[in-house]
Amino acid sequence: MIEATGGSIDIEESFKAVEIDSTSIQSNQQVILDTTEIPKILLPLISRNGQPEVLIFNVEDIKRLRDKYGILGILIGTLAQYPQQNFFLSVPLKLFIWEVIWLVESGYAQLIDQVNYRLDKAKELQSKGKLQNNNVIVMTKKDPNSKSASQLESREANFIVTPNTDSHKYSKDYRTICADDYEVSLKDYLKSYIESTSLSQNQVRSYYQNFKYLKKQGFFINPGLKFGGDLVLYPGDPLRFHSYSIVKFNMVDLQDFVVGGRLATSVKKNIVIIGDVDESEEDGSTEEVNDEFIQSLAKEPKKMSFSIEWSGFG
Amino acid sequence: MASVESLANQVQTNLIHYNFWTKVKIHDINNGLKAVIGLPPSKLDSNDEEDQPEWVIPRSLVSNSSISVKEINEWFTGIAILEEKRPKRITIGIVNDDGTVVYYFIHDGIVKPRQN
Repeated sequence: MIEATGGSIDIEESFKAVEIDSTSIQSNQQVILDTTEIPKILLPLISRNGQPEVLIFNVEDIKRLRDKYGILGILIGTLAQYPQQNFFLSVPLKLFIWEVIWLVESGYAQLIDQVNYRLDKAKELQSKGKLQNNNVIVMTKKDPNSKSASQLESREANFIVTPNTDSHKYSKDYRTICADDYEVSLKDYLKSYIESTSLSQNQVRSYYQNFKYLKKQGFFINPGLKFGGDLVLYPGDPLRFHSYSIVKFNMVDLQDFVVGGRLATSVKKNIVIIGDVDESEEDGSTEEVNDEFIQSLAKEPKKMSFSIEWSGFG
Repeated sequence: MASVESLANQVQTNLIHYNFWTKVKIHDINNGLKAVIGLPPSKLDSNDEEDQPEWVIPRSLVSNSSISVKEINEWFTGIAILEEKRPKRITIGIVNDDGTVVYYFIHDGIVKPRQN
């Protein structure tokens, strides 16, 4: 369901966005602050083999996530102009599970069933004959006996360009379709997420609370597998700061402690371990993802943390 | 299996004779746990004060290698009772059965890593 044309348009936009000078950025922020009610960011949910993924193509949304909410995600698309490198990547932006839960739970965003939403949008455009591009494909087999000049006319365009910017409202183009009608609940998202992973409900809750605890302290957070952990912390935007800490969710063995501490120190970082203040918190085990479970995600995390680094002697 | 007592003695010996620490003493903290305190020959971190004593918690890698955040918190609260102040940092001395002792800093909360 990822269309090539939409991607390349967004890349150009993202280059433009980089070139904007600081004054216009300031005025942009002014505009955002003036708006009394900001519409929720739409998080397009794509289910591949039952594993739900959030992929964002809208550059404005990506900017808002980063500047306003400190949500980074990972760019995973190729830059069409520079396909031979993978240091700088382009849209879509993939969000990881804790970012998704945090955005939805905080009320900044809502999940959308992107597959059905786009299919229905395409159908509506097609039914009205609103084809917005000139991609012409021969639909009928060429008859070698026919020398008809009208063959070109019998061709039919089979690409339908639907804009990346999705709307909360019914519009001129989409009278019967709006994104809000395709909302997916956090419950359904987590249900299919948990089914597709080896994590239990309680682990998901505990790890999410770790993420929330760190987010509350103002850290910028990236996935941490590159450094052998679960998360990596930055004191500010990673474009301006080096990361400081590798977060490990489940530090249970002294051997991990030594391995992790030594590795982190060698890359000028430390290891952060997080645990529950009250261990009975974890006992509230639920067998299924129900409303009670979703509500428990919103609870204030009661966590404590320690930073580990090699002492430099011994 | 090494007792808590001999574990602390081993760390004490290692600190005095291998790392040249001075005034190394063993204290009892809560739950029968032992902590070692001493003065390192030089500052362990550039932000430390001169002659700042360091608390070291001895742990065996072989007899009980499991560790939890709750347990680390108990070390901090145990030392807080002796010092009347929760320390910003403690050191864990991990003792292996081959004669190796390794030391790791544990800071309270999330801190900036040392600049080496």
